[in-house]
Amino acid sequence: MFRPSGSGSGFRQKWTGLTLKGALYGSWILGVFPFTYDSWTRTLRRSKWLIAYGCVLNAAFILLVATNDTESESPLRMELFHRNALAEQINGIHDIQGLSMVSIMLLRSFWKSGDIERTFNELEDLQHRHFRDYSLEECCSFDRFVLYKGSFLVLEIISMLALELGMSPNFSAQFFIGLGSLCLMMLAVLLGASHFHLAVVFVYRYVWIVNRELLKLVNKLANGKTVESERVDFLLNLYRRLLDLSHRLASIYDYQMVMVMASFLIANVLGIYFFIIYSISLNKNLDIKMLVFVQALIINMLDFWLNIEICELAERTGRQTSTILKLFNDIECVDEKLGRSITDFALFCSHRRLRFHHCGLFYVNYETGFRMAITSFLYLLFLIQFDFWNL
Amino acid sequence: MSPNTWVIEMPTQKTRSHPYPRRISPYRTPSLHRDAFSRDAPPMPSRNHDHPVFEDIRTILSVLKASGLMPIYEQVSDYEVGPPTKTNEFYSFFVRGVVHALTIFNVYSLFTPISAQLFFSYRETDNVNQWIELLLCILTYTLTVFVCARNTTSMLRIMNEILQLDEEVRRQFGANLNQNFGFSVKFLVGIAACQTYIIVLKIYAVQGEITPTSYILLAFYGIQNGLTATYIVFASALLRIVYIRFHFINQLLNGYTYGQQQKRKGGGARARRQRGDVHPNINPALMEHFPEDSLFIYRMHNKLLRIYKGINDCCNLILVSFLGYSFYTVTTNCYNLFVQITGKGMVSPNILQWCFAWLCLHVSLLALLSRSCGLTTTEANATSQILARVYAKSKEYQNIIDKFLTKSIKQEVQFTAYGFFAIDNSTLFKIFSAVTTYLVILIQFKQLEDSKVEDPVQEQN
Repeated sequence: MFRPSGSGSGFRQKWTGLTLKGALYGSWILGVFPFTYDSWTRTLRRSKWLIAYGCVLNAAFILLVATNDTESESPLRMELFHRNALAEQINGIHDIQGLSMVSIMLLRSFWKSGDIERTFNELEDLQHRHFRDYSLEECCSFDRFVLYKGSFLVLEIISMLALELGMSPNFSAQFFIGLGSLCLMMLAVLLGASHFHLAVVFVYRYVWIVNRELLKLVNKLANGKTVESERVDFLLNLYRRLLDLSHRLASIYDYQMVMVMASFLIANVLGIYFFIIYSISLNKNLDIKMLVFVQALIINMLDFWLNIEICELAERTGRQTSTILKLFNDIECVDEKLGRSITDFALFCSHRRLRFHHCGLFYVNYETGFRMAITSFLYLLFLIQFDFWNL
Repeated sequence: MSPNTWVIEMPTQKTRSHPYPRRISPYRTPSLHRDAFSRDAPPMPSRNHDHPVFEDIRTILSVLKASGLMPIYEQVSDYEVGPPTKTNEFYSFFVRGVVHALTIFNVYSLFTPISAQLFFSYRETDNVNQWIELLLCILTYTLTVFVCARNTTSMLRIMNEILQLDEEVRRQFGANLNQNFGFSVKFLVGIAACQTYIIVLKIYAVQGEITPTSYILLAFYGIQNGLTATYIVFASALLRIVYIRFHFINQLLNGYTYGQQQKRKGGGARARRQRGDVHPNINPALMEHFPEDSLFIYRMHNKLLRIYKGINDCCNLILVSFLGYSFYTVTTNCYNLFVQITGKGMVSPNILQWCFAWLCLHVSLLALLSRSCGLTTTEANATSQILARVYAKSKEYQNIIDKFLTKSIKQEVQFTAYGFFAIDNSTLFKIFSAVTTYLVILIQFKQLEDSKVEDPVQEQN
């Protein structure tokens, strides 16, 4: 899945391939991808050694972060928390939520590694058997989103480093150990989450190909040529497998994604809250520390939105399939067998849709993202109201 | 070829060989209630290009063309518009450049004490609110200009698609799909009057002599507001155009429904007389024409959906920012009204008028937008409902109906604001419930602020 086969040889495709490779090797090194690749059978195999390695490595990171926490000693934080006790309490809750999120996320990934193996193998199988021969030069969104995801992964780590280094005045050995392990732990978590998003982008690409093939069939029919019903049945079968895969992916990564999204939202709300305390309550002017803080906030928000946008892209492409099928309506001479196949496809699209539903709580799309943003804003207002006296 | 661009090369239609209308319009005679489907006496389309396209909305189009928001297109034929000439393109480019320059100047003025005299209110919160309102207005208009410049080609494509569709309808049915878009002119006048009134109120309210910078800021603020509102009226008018086309095919289909066919069978002069009383517009069609007409209707429906989606794609960013700006303005003005009414001091008639003017402008625009979107969406979704009532006595007809209905199950179309939420009649309700929530929060803040001021005074005493 991570191999950039068939992506073409342009500059953009090369970068996409490099990003995918980077994600793969990074995941292997950090122990969040406990599979080995058998190039002969083209399958992934779960490795217990790699699972053990991942468990030990990430437990060590969590331990190092917990024991080398010098963050709370920074004067800015002390000043902020001294002024506002509520901020300190909420920050404590966020820290606990963060650590529990990391542990649960990694444990769930290892626990579900069997399902992940089967799902990724099926994606690889689909790629090799059915999609490798298609030209993908035109599927720009795939490359763009892979590149965005890779860039934001790097930006998140850089912004975190900048934030920690910018806020802390004393660079002790303990600080660097804590910071290093924190960055590696965060990288592991972000890479683990990006596996889901990359898989979704792959599903999007395959659905995009199915759509393109359907459009070709409509054009053929419109030009008076014949189309075999088997071709539509074949596309329906591919579409069914893709939908099945997307549902499996959503169920494997449900808890992880909910926790990551919750974590992003809490971080954003708290970030803005701290910013308000700092700029209004403490009456500080804009300086380099504020800039570091603001950039971290912006990158966090954009990364959160990117996660939503990837799922929306796949959902939108799924909706387009139904729209393309409507184009078959106004074609005059359609063979009865072909007509039945198209009807089957349309009925399938009506009853099963490409959507990502996490834990039965919400579908991930723009609508949910907007609601989340509005809710975060409301929570921010409530926080400010709660603590209005300290402002 | 990409799935994002629904290009489908249609074969030469049989109908193309018939220059004269082959079917009768669902409206037999020009109706007094709806002149949208009035049949012209000569069915042959005229070949001279004197007849300008989109004549119904020419006033609003002229305003948008002059302000650089719409391309000054060239009319190629009665049913086609071409890209603007180099000179016109340069004019639009120049106007947009001036707008951006003024925007930069205004943002600079807002962030410096130059514009301080415009924020004269006695409360700090009011000043901040007005300042944010001004900034939001500038942002919304700048975004509108950017999006319009980017979507020039898409807008021309949409216009051409509407014209092509009109041409086909005219060729097939001889129907001229025009409607009186008087509401757009009324709204234009209303917007201009409201904006002038607001600016005059503001000028009267400012103490001391007003500096030229403040005049520029105010004038540009008024123009920006007016043009953003005009664009919203234009989007509503475009949606109404699509609504009329959807309504036409729905009425065409309605002629084949069970009820209409029964009336036809019940037949004779009595039925025709009754038809004139009950449904003056509907004209039952012969079932033998159904296979041919259904193909035409399905094709039209697909094209209309494509146009509808195109309009949504062109406008959605503008709509999101306008709805956000509108929501903020309505909330702050409601809050100001509340403060004025419940305040212990003197009620300022200036602020009251200012608030009422803003509320009238934004509420009417929101209502217009929601209503246009709601109407079009309902009409687009009504096709399958009407088709489900079509009288299909033979298997052939049933197959034709099923072909459409199976592809319409759970496929309701929606006009969305960038996918964040659907814009229809319910949007108005949602916006006002959100306004109430935020109003309560603002009032709570005010109470907290007041108690915070009072407490130190009590402590000192």
